[in-house]
Amino acid sequence: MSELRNYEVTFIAEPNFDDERVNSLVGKYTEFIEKNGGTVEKVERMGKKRLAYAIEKRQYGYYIYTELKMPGEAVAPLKRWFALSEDVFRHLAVRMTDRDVRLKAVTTEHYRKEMDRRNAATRPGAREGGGYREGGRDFREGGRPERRDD
Amino acid sequence: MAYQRKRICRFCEAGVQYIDYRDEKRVSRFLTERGKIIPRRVSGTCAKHQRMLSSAIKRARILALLPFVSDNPA
Repeated sequence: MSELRNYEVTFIAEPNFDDERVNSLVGKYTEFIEKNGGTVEKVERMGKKRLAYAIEKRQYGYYIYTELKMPGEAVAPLKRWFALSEDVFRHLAVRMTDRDVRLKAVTTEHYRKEMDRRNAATRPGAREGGGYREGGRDFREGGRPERRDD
Repeated sequence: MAYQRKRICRFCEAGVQYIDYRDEKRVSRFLTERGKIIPRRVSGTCAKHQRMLSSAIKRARILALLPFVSDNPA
């Protein structure tokens, strides 16, 4: 087998799935990856979320995010597996370069520190806005953005 | 009020090095209420971050985290 690469695979299962069916789906998925020479390193159930647009009349979906290592040749079979699956109606597989992985880790850490700093600064409970950036105008306030560079 | 000088990129300012497509809350502010990607000349984002941002938005759209088009301004 060729070199293992990092991938992020997110897929959306039927919204009415209970824990048991999700477990069984994740189990089958993991098994499939392992059969193709990969390993699933992280599974995050993002849970039932509202879709930004309807997909085959569905308004909700159960999101499952995974990080894995697998050889490049496993991508095509995986996509076919999703296509044939009756449980999953949408998926996205993203190849992560080593650089992407590093930068993502750095940025996640950065956000975490930022949050800590903010939580320390403002008294707990006095949460404001919830955005990661305060001060500075959000260009979406007050309707359409104007051109500012002329 | 006088015109505003070109501002610095929000991502550079915030020290962001990677824009995650699953992070739709952070990314959605760079969409118009119709769901279009706000151009660099308006948002002031630098080229590097705009590239990352547009990839992230397009990926988020595939996952139905963000709309391709939106009729109801959110």
